[in-house]
Amino acid sequence: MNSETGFDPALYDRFPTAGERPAGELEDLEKAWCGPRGWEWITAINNNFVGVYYVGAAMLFFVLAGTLAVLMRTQLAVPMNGFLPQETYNQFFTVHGTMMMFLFAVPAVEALGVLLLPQMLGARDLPFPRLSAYAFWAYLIGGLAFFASLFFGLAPDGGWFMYPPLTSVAWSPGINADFWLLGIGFIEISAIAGAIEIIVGVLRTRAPGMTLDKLPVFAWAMLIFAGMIIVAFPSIILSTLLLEVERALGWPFFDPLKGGDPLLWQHLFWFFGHPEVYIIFLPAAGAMSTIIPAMARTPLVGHRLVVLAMLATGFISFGVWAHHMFTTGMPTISTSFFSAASMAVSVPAGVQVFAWIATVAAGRMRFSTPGLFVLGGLTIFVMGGLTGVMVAMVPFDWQAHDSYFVVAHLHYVLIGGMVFPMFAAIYYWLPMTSSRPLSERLGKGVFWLMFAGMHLTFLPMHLTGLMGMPRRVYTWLPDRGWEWPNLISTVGAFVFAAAVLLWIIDMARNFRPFGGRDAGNVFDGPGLEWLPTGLYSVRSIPVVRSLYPLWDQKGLARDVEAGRYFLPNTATGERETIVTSTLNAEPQYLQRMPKPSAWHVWAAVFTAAFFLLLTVKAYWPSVVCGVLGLYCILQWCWFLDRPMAMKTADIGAGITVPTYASGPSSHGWWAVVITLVVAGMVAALMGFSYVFLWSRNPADWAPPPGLSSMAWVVAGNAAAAGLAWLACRSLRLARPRSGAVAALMMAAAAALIVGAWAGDLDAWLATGLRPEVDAQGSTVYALLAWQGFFAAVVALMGLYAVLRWLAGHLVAERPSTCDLIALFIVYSAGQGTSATLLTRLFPGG
Amino acid sequence: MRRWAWMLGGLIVWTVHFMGVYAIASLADVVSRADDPAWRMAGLAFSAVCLLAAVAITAWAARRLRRRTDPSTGFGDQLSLLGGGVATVAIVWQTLPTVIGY
Repeated sequence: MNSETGFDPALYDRFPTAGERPAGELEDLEKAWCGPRGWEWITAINNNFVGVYYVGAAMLFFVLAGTLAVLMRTQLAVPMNGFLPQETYNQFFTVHGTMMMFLFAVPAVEALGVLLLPQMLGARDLPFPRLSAYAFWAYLIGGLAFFASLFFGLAPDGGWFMYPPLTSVAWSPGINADFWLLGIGFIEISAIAGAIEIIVGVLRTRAPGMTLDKLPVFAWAMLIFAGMIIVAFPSIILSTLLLEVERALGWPFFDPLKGGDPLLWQHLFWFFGHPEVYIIFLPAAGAMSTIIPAMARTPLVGHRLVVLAMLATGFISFGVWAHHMFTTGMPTISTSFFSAASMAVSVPAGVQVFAWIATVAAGRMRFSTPGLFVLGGLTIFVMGGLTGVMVAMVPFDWQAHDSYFVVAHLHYVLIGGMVFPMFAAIYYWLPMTSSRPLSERLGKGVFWLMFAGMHLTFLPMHLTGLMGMPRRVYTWLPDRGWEWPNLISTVGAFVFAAAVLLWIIDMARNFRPFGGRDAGNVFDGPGLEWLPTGLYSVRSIPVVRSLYPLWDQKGLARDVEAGRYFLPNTATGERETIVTSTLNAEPQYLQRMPKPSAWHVWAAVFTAAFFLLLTVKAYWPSVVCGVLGLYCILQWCWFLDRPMAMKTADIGAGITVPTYASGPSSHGWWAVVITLVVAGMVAALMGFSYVFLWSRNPADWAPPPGLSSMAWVVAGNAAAAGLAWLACRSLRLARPRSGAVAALMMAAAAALIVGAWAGDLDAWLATGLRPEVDAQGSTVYALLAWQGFFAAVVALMGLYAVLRWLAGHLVAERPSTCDLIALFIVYSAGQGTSATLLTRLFPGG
Repeated sequence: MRRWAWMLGGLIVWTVHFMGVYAIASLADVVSRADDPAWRMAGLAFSAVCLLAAVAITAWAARRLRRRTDPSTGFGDQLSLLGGGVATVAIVWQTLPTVIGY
């Protein structure tokens, strides 16, 4: 095997090591990774805790949103029912859809990743455990506040996709829509934080030897899922920002009277919304591809094709957004392209389905609860997929659009593609997490009730839809032939609810604080997650030589538990994990992991408070909370990039690696680059919005400011980028005043970014263009505001660099902070330049 | 990053294609009509370029796989071959609205 980093793969032959391990090693490991005591459970950051909290919160939101569904079905059971008032019903269906999509589906699979990936990859933990914990607390607080808005009549009522003009101030006065816009924008930031964690975790903290062909299929799915979040979610963040700004400040992005266009919302929303379906589906499919081989006791048929199919799904999912817009009057040739793409997406999904069927056929399938849930999910998903191909055809979509047929289709896809696999995952992996399996008897009851309830609820909806019943109506008239299908759907909803209730009883039974906890590898799973673990994950990190290590590497569990592999101790006396290379997983350096602290929890509390207070228009308290949140985040950052007592460490069998890395080989560099991809996506989509709104009314576009001011803006940004680069070079010279020079250069670069932005703003103000007047003004000033935000962050970073230098932390041996600030400055310069060139040169004078 | 680009090359070309044909049709809609013959020809030419790129990736990956000496190094090339193949078929499929009408 060729080496990727210069590491000699022959060194793997030293493992498993021979002989007894020194006494006290395991105790040191347990001490470093000790669990929380008392109230410390709030500040815990270990994935064993945060992952369980995360899954628990996601399932709580599933139950809450499901309760709303049962109430809605009660209202719709008979014609002209008065169980729920119209306004309450509108709030219920909006909150139901929003919670299921934003607070259950995506966070649940993300939570599964946080919980399972470290053990599955053979890492001690994911590389940014505090970020995971921050994402969880932000999500929990934001989600609960969002749900609580129902009790005050303040819940949004414009549907889960919040189309303007229905959600504009004219038609949705009050703050209901603002709860959705600010709440969802905030929660998506938490999803992005989780995605960064997962990408860097899968790429950089795999067990040595776990090359890409040995990467578990669930980890592949999580990697693609997280990558898709990074590309898709900026679109929803941007669209919610634009609509909120239109509502609050009157900038007309979607108001056609002032040159805006409501279709812009649909493009932005569905550029996020359709990939969202695959974002939900792929991790569940990864779980299916993991559980089915274990239950069938045979390797997954067509593993490489399945990986390719997941990758292909990830790519094509960004080419089908407009199939939600077939009825909006797009040109016929455009709808034909999207129709073709929508049909093509069934091919990679079909590859996975056939691989699962072939695996079941090739093995000896066990029909225990996880086995039943995967097969049930497979059946339901295929049925949903078939109706998906139907609505991909434009003429059929015109007939079925906004009818109950679409409600049936989307529930078949989402329940079969995500809910059933999620339950399969819970029944399959819970013995690993709680060391106690769920009840097989109750589990089978849960499955059959849920399977029957699902079909009873949604199968008749195909008929009600084809018979003309529109979705989102709070009641319906008698004598239309909809009586029986609606009544059956309501009965089915109660049967489904009974299944969930039974599952809750089973879970409560499982987490009882007494009784034995020694489930072990109950399903003979082949992945590393089934190795014996403690709070430190595996006792020693194995060399992976197979896709199914526990099936193929005999004695692996015994040797891992005996500490005969990598990192059988705490090499530096602290929490740590091995960072490996992205392709071949060769050991590169030892990462020091953070210890629990309260800063991330306070940061989450204040960030949530900032958004909530902004929603209720309490501006000054909101600003105070924003500043406090920022302070907590800076405190959190301050303790990063500190001196290490040891420059290298023995990670087992005499193999030594550095304890510090900077630049592209460091995990922090990767995280910042991914964050900047998110920012770049927002900027690119804002550029798309600018061009799109120009294309609606090209004649109304006013000439931009003169080119001389543009030259100054570009020159300022270029100089800032150059200075940031020079600052990094000067720090690495390791001269006595290197730190001071680097800090001052960084501060000067930050000042140049701010100056270039101010110059651009001044030039536009001088033209008389105003953001509230027309679409050109709103999009130009939106781009300026976005760049202004970056200029403010860069200014803060410049100040931070100076403070780090004053505190003696900006030194040549630890250039990471300097590198990352420089990366951010270079990006900001590029973004500012691109925005200026776009608005000045297109369409030009 | 180079090796990732190689592994995902076919899928990247596919993405460029489906974004590109939509962008060309949208631009045509602003300038004249979405189905203006000249713009359709431009879309067709763009599709041909993408198709050639996908075929080239497939052929190159197949060649690398044939010549490899170490069987453990083939994962990236296999992924590239499969991705290129999928992209080739998908590009032809998504060019059909331009070729045969809609």
